[in-house]
Amino acid sequence: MSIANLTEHSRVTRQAIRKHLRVMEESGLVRSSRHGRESIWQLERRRLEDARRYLDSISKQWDGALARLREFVEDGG
Amino acid sequence: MDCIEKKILLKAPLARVWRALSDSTEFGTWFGVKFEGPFLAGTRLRGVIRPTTVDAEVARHQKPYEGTAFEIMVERLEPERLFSFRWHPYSVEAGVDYAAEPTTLVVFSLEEVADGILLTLTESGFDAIPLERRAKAFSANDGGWTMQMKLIERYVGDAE
Repeated sequence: MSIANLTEHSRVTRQAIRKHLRVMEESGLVRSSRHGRESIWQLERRRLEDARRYLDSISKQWDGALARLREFVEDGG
Repeated sequence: MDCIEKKILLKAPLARVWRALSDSTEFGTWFGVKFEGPFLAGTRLRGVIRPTTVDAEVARHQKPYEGTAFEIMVERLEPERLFSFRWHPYSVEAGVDYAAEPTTLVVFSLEEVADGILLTLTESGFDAIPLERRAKAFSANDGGWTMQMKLIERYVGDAE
């Protein structure tokens, strides 16, 4: 997607969108390539997915830790 | 999503549950970490991950994390009611200085109910953690944490 596509139906300025995209690019969440005068932007789906799974994974760690706590206190450890 | 919330019913006396949470040695036993001192409200405390002596296979997987230190900032200790601290979740990546990064807040709260103690755990503040850190931490450490959990299970099981 180009900046032009992204701003077409939006009130956000091109400049603001470009700024956001650059920040996301630094985090590896999107990448850009030049096509003539335009930059074409692509989502890095794997990176986004990793970020989402981060929370799922911490959530699972707590499930495990709390199950151990239960065993620990209920079995008189 | 900014917050994790878990509820678990513990069929044990309130005093027993409180000790397992508020005594840093007991906490370390079920959680899987060795703290360098007691939990005191308003102080920083260092903890170290150590490979297990219980299971050779788990120990081998743990080896890369041996000596990995992390810090918690103890916030509140309200006897038999609430324990909270701040930390950097997943702060085990070598060579990264987490000091300047935002922390999450972990709160354990206890409530006496008819058939035991209802423990509520919340961890909040994830929105402030940079997306990049979240993505990287996950890819780097999933294997290690899974092993960590296996280790605790083994340790607690064998201790009985």
